[in-house]
Amino acid sequence: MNAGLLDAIVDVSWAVLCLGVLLALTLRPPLAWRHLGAILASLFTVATAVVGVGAVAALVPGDPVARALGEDAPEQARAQMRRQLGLHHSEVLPPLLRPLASGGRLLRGLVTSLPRILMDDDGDDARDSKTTPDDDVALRSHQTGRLVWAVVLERLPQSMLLGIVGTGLGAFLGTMLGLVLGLRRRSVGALPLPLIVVGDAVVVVLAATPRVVLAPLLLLLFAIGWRVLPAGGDPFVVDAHGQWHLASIARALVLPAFALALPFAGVVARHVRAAIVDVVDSPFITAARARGAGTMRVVFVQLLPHALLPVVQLVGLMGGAVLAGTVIVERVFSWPGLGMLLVTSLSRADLPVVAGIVSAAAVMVRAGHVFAVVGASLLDPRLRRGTR
Amino acid sequence: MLVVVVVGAMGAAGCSDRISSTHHITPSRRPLRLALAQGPEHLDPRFATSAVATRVSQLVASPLCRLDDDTLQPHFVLGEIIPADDPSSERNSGPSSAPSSDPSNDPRSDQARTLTVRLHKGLTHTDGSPVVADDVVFTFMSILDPKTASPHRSRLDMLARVEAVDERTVVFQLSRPHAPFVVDSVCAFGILSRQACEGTNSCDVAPVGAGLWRVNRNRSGPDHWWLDRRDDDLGPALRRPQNNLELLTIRDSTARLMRLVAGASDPEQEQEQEQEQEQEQEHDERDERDESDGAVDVVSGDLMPWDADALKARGLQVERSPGLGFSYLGLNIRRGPLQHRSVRQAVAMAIDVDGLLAGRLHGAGLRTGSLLPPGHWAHDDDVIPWPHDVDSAGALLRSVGIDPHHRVRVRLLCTPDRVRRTVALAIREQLAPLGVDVDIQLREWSVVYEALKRGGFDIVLAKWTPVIEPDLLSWTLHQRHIPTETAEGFQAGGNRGGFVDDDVNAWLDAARLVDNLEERRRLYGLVEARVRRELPFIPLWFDDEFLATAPDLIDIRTHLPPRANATGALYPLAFVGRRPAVKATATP
Repeated sequence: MNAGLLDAIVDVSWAVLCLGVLLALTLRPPLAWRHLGAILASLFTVATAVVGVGAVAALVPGDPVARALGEDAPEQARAQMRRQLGLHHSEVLPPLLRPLASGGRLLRGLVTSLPRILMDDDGDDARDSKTTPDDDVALRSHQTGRLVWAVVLERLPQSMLLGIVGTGLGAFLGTMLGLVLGLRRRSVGALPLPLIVVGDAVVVVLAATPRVVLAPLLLLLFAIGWRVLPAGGDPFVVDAHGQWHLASIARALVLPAFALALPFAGVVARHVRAAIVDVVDSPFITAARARGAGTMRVVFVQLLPHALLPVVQLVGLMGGAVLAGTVIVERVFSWPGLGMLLVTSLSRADLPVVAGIVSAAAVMVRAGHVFAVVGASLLDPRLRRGTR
Repeated sequence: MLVVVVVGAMGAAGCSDRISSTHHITPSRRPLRLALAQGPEHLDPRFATSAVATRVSQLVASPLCRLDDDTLQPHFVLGEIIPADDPSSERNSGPSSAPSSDPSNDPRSDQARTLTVRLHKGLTHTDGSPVVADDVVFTFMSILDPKTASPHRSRLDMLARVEAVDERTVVFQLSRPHAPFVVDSVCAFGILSRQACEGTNSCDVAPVGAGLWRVNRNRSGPDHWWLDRRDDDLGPALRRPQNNLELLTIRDSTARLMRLVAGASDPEQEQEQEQEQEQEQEHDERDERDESDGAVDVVSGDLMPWDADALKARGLQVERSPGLGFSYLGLNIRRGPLQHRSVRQAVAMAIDVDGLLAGRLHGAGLRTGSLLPPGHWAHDDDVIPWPHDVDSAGALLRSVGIDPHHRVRVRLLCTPDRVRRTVALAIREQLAPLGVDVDIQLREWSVVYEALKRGGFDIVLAKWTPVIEPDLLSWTLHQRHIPTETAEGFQAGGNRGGFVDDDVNAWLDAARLVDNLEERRRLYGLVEARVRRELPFIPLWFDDEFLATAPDLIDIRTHLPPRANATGALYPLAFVGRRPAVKATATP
């Protein structure tokens, strides 16, 4: 068996193994080791996303290598990228298996380069000569030659900061707004009806405003009109003394965070409001009032747990959508996160980096899911009992 | 002590009539911030491929020569060509289109294959080390080295060797005469320091070269490059830059303009900010970075004519220059009705290009019949655009059986941006009465490009890269560059319309070999005249370029080249001054 065919079989095996395990864990989860199974399912979900990127790269019309490197690129660089994307198997594999081989190659490259990143090796040494050995399957950005993990991890903290602050802010604002709007009875501190109507309208507008409109609008108002906040940029760049300025980062974060948070707040507010309306007339609220509980106690002790349940689930879902939201927000405010990197990598057809970002996004989706499950079970004892 | 008062506050207090302003002669320490739609993918000139990467890399690693703004001919900045009759040189100059070289018409002579350059005295790299001939050798030989995997290696395949004769003299020896060598290669690659760049990749992110700025790695980020101007001795040949540069990638076009407008404060606020900055600088030698506003000073490229008035209304400066970007209609002459020359000529006459320029582009372009801009050394004034003559166009179409009752359909491919879309719609309206139905297909550029490469189009409306070295015509017109699908795979080429003309092939080959500028001009003139007749594409116009800058930048016009493309304005802008801070002082 020649080396090329063996290499192709290894790549296909990675993809098949990944898909097979995920399928098995999904269809028949092993009850005996439930938590381990859940973790494995998460890992293999992430891996499947990477396989998907590779498969799409092999399926789209045209030559992704020519698109990325240009028609005049040296043959050596083209061959290297074809190897990296698993597209060099086309001579030894039937067409149906080529997408699997490409996906498997990307996955293999990401997994095998993970230990090197953990050892703080970003692949700079190997790219001294701009070429990598044929047997090096570590996944690298074809633009910079750096390991994909190094490129992604460099931007991940900025995106996480924006995502967490934006999501947290949206959840907080939405919860408060929904809580206020849901309190219809004056006995528990409801607003006058006209204010509730206005509030409902605000919530609808917030939820319906796309970020692509909201972000420039905030920029226009606060950076150009009133000049109270910066118009964007990279606040993580150190000054002449090599120091970060936390105040600069905080100021630069305000507008992107609000652009991310406000539409989410509108969605959260609608869910919270509905949850509150469902229970605000319940007997246990009446009983609490009869026992002499004050308005604040009723709202924050009796009603808030009911309001938080949908919020937690929404935040869990939002975890996966953070990247989608930040692509627009980061683009408008030039925030140096994964969203900007994704746009740049797509425009340069840097598929290895795209695969790395997709894997990071898949991790965020799973993390959001775990947050939702754990949070919901903490808030609702019935869910904890149900899982026993 | 005279009190320095913020002008805005004073105005509010109603005492502005008692204030006299004096210009304080302190240059601003703020860097010049340039907004880029796309950042450079590499700063190392050996790996920079995009236009913006090439421009930025040349700021930190200057090439031996630059192109003259008027004629687009090379002029040497780091050294000089040693002419053939220089008795001090054993070598002769040759493969250059530079007027200072001693040309030879005989492609077999050594003179036509040798270029000798003597570096100026006192040149230094950005790390302070001297620029020597060995650095030039290192730069070019490392591009040729397969281990480097430079994407530019094929551009130097005619380069047999580069040798350092002494510390300041370098000789390029070509394996065959190649007239475009100087423009395509010598002026293209910035000179790097062998000492700093050999065997390491540090020059990828912070090249050490013979440039006027050095990359400040600590203050640069993933989409953000800080270039410190050099304060050390540059040598007598180089001009010291005025400003530090901050290059920012702002992908969103609206955000780019907004951040420019954000920096255009009104005069009162401006004075206030300047005073605050000066006070802080005096007290704690504050960081040069203006950390407060995120504003930019310069936006170039992607500006539309209709943006200009709005920006001027906000107090910004907008400069308009004739550009080099070339808009054209590419025609696929291998299939359909466009394979008939009469149909192509009819289409060229039926389109009212002047009307399109005036109506759809607000006049922001220069109509052309040639690929080479006016003023270019190879431009031929006799190559004029086809006249707008609907009657003649109709007659030509009728001669091949096309009229309003016997219609033909062609597919026009273009990207969905606003200008191209409106131009495409206008072309459809103008061709429809003559019996030509245009099916407009708006696609993303990657799809358009793929269709272009594979010949899957009838007409394409696109913009071409500036033609500075006319040898580029060979890529688009020579028969050997027709894209083909072979058993070995797809062979790329720029002649995507399938134009075949033996005379044109011969003229293009000859123009590559001869080193006589007049002869090259004559040959390219012949090519352009044949292209005008055969019409493998229809030249439309050179797009004007707009540059919007902050109001406190001074003498913009005098620093800009007469022609500019989207990123070409980077270099001259670095010498632009900033209006000195205005100190308002209260008088009793």
